[in-house]
Amino acid sequence: MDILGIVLSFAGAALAAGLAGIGSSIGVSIVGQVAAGLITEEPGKFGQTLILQALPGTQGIYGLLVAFLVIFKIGAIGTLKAVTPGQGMAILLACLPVALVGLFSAIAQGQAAAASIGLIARRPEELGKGIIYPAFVETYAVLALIASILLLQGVTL
Amino acid sequence: MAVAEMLKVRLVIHKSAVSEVISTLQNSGLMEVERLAGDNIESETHEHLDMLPLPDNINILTRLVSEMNYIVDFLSPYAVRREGLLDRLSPSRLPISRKQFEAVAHNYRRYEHIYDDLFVMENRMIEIRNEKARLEHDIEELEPWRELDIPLGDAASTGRAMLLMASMDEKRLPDLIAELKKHREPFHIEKISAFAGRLYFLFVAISTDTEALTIIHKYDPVLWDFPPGTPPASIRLDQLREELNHLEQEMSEIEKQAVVIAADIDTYKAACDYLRLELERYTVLEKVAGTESVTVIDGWARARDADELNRRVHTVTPLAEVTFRNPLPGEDVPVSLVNSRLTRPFEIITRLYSLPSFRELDPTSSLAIFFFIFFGMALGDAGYGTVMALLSLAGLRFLRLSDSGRNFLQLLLICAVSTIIYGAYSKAWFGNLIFPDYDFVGGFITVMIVSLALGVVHLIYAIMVELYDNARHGDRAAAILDQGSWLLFIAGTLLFSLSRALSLPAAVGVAGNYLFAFGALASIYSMGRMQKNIPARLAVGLGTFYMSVTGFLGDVLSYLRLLALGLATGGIAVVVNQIARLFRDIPYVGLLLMILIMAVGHIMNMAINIFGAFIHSTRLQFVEFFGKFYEGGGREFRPFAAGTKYIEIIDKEGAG
Repeated sequence: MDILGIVLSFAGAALAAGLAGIGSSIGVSIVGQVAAGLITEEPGKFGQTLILQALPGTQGIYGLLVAFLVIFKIGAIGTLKAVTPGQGMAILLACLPVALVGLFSAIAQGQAAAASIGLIARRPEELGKGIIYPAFVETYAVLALIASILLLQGVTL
Repeated sequence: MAVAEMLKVRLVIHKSAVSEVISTLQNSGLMEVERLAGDNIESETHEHLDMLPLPDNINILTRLVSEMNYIVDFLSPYAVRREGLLDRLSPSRLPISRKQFEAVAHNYRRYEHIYDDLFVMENRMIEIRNEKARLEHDIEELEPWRELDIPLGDAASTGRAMLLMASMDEKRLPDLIAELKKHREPFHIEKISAFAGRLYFLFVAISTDTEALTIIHKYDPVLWDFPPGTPPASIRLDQLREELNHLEQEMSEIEKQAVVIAADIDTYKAACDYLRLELERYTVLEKVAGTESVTVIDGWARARDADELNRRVHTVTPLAEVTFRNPLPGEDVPVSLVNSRLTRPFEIITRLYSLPSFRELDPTSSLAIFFFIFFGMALGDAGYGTVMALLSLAGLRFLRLSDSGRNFLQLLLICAVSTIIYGAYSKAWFGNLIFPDYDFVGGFITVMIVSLALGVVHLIYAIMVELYDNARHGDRAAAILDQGSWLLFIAGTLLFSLSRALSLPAAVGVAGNYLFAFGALASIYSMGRMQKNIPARLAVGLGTFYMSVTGFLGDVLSYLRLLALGLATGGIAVVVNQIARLFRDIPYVGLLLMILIMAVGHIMNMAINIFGAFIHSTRLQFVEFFGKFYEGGGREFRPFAAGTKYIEIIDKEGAG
């Protein structure tokens, strides 16, 4: 069995879950730090800040999803399938959209959500709008997820 | 799809009946009172009207209300909680009869002395807290010197010897000693204790030896100095501990007292509400105007409540006249939404964006159907839908909810139904828990096409609403040229591409071609029509047309999030099951572990994805749908009503 194909696939899955996860953790942390500052003044807004903090968390989930798709595809749970180096490379490349866009968009979304914390500090009734601004950023993570999944579908083992 | 009809109300009341009428308005909650002052007093019709002088007791009432609020806030932590978990989730308002309510309120003189008592108590509690903090700090400082058995006040330099009480980093002591030895003058270091990496010691040297002092200062010591007469540390510590004990006892005495007073908290809550209602009745007077004998109250009411308002006012007094008129253009009319039972919960989404202005369409019923479909697709697991439905049903059944809370749970319930339908169709029940052949990526291409198609439908619908809105306001040209030609273009594009994709008769494709070309030309013409000369028209028309086409494509692609969210739910759910099943074969605890992992995994996945489905379904409404036609910015209709915070009057007042 050609181990290189498997190794490349593993690299793809690891990057998807890893980079997107890093992005989400940084994004969530950015919002959390700002939110904690607001809560010292107004503890009653905890629920609202929690919603905003959760927003940049989805990229990590998209990355994890793609990682699992790869794991299922190559049979990493159960019996490994034969993966040629070419197929492995294709799988690795297919993982890149969600990995890279996940990494950067989660951080950017965290910054947008942190700004929204500032918004609800002054005007708590505008939470809806405060959610929409960061949700715009997520569009590109969604598109990257679609691209990754489409590309993965294109690799037949 | 409606914004309620509103009427401008004017009450003209003889001054003897003003307080009855205001009470009636408060109890009926049908009318919003508008400030009748400044610009609102139109000079020619109201030249005799003046602002009325406010009664003196408004200041007294304001003070009483803030005192009662203070009493309730102060006592709340000390009140005995009789409530169970359910009550804590949805705190109930205390049911009370009108008679009790008024009886309670008439005792308010008694509450003033309670306010004074509590005020003294709170001040003493703050003092005690500060004093305790100081004592605790002192104890912490003294603790390292406990083993030093001389009176601390005596540990001072004498004429021939210098004595320092100091602490420093324990690790640097050997260096210090080495350096002092090199200096070759007599010295002595008496170690007392070591605490958290710091060494506490006495340092003795000859009083003229300034060099030793310089050396020791290089090691960042903290120097200690106690006032003369301070007893040995162990004795002083005992004294401080005793003081601390006393303070703690006093604190618990005060708290016991507070608990005793708090036994009557319900009375204070009722009094607080009563006084607040009374204060609100007085503050209405800030908004009215009048002459010596007549008072005028202006405001708004829903058209359908007009008769009821009229009747209620006339039941309490014959000395009042109620007139209604339609709103005038340019008037700031408050907005109240009217929707059917099924679409009312979706008002939450509309409100989240902004209420429609009075002359705008209420988008609630349009967005309801799409929100319903979008949410179902985005969550897409019948198992999760069922859990959601059961939870929201339980909430509706058992919790005491405000109107908005009730609406929210109803919205969740409706969305849960959608989720169950979609999930059942795609065989998703907690991922592949029930149907092992559920394949979450299997229908990928189909779902993608459905998502995009839904997007196209949603966007076309938005353009049609915009067309209708323009036509309704008499802007026929905009309706036909802007939205009409654009619709033709989209229809042509669709016909053309569908005829290719589904191999329909050639005629359909040809018709599509013509529509496409005609629509495009008409759009380019209409988009440039504001420009004066022909080249500018062409340039602006083409530019705008290009932006519109790419914008439309971008909007359609945005609906792919429905696919992505559905995949994420399904994918993670399948993974949870897969991982949980790995544990099944562990002897004895395997089954338990499997169930535990499944429960935790599915709960987390469900929570995250309900949240995601909600946000993204909302986003599709706000950005892709509202962006086409909706402005919002309406002001909510807030009738003057008896809004109580703590109590609920159970015997509803009859007519007036």
